[in-house]
Amino acid sequence: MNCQIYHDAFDDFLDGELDEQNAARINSHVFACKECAAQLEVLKHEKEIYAHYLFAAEPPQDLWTKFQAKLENEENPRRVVVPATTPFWKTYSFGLRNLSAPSAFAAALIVFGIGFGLLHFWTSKNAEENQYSSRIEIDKNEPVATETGKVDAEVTPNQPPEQIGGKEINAPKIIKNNGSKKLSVAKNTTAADFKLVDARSETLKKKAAFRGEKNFPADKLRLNEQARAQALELKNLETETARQLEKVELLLRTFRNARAGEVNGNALYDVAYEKQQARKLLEKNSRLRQSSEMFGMADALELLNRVEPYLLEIANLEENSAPGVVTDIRERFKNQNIIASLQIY
Amino acid sequence: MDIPMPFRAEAEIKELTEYSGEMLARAKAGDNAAFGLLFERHHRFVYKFVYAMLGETAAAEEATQETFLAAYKNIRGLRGEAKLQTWLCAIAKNVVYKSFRSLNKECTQSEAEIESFEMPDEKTLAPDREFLSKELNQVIGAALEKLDADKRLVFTLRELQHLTYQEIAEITGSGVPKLKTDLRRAKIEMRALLEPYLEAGK
Repeated sequence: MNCQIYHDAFDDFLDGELDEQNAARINSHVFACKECAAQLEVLKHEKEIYAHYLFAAEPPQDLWTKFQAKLENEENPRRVVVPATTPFWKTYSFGLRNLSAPSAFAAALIVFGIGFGLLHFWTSKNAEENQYSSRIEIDKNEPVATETGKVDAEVTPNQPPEQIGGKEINAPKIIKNNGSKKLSVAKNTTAADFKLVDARSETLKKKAAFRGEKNFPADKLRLNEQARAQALELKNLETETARQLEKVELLLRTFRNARAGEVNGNALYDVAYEKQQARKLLEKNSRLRQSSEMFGMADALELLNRVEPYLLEIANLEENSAPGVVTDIRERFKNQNIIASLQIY
Repeated sequence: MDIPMPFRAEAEIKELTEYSGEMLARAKAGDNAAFGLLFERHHRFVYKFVYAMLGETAAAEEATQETFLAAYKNIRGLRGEAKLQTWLCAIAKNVVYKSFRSLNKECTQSEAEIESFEMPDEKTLAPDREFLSKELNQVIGAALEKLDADKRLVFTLRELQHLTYQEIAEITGSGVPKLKTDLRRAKIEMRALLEPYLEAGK
């Protein structure tokens, strides 16, 4: 019966919950009593079994990426809500008041530039709208020219003679360079002018079509199975690269923010976690580098290339590193603005 | 000679807590990278907890994500003095209990199946645990499933995850004496279910 008291205390004993005196009593009892020793062994074994149970349960590697996807799916209040403490016109007037003369001038220039651009766009659109009627005139008189370079030779008979000589030759330059001058020319546009615009819009359309084919997977899907697979692969690669660079950014940030701990009088950096992460990322980095080279993703390739030496260095650090080594690496990636460029990507 | 362990551990813990405090402050301010770091640090603990509670990898994955989603939304409401891990566990506990409630009907249907469980079945074995004693883990999983939710909760947090009674009390919201009773009963039940395996270790 005496043993039962001890049995009841075994759990607390193994958990380290007992005070010194009671623990010593149990120790001495177990030393003397075979039965209780056996019972304690069973309990220890039990604990080991339980420890193994969760030891084996590991979350999947991509849980963070999955979680991020989930987070994006949810309406994210943090990104949507903009703190509206001051009305927007106040903040802007505040900005203008502090504006210096050169920057004001620069801003004015930008505004004018945008104005000219819009004007140019508007006039060229007008010209395009008019082109059908003028086209008919051209067709009546002679075959339509296909190249812009031939325009000078193909002047239609109903043009005013003075335009043929001077202005008409300049027309291509005018159209391309300056919106405001184009406006004055547009008032008495000639058929040749329209032809020019026509040819230009044709090439623009072709370009747009080409670009669309290259950039939008949706267009590509229509082409054929192979192109579709390739587009998907490219898209996967892009997202994977983005993830990788994000992780690297996170790692470099942690590394940058790591603090020196006092160990036995020496200031040492504990970079065990960073080291482990860097190792994981390195392997993936080289793989991604190869594939982005294959697909010609220049931006991604450059970043991956720039980041790799740092990963390598961090992975090869000692778990407790001397401050000199750590700050050296830090200084270097600070100087190259790596974190900023990663963020931009 | 190596650095004496206690001092080293103390320094490490001090640095870690300071550091995670800073990360927490940044995450509260809306820094997603800092939140990512907190996720990296704590998701394994949360995953293991919900895995022990739910006994299934897919459900555990889902519950872990739910937990961190709720944490992300409410992180600014977190009191400064509360330990992040305890707070996350409390959220995870709510997520788990919620899923229990929604699964309640299914549970009553499959109760007969659980009762008839005697020996582990090879087919239902989870592939990620194959390198350890599969059978034993399966038996523990099945035994855990037989505990009621409160006992399972205390047992998991105490025996499997080694939290202190104080921390568990914060998570469950019940007093330490109740926890101790629950734990004792849970242990007795578990022992009865695992008896053959425990005897084998003698």
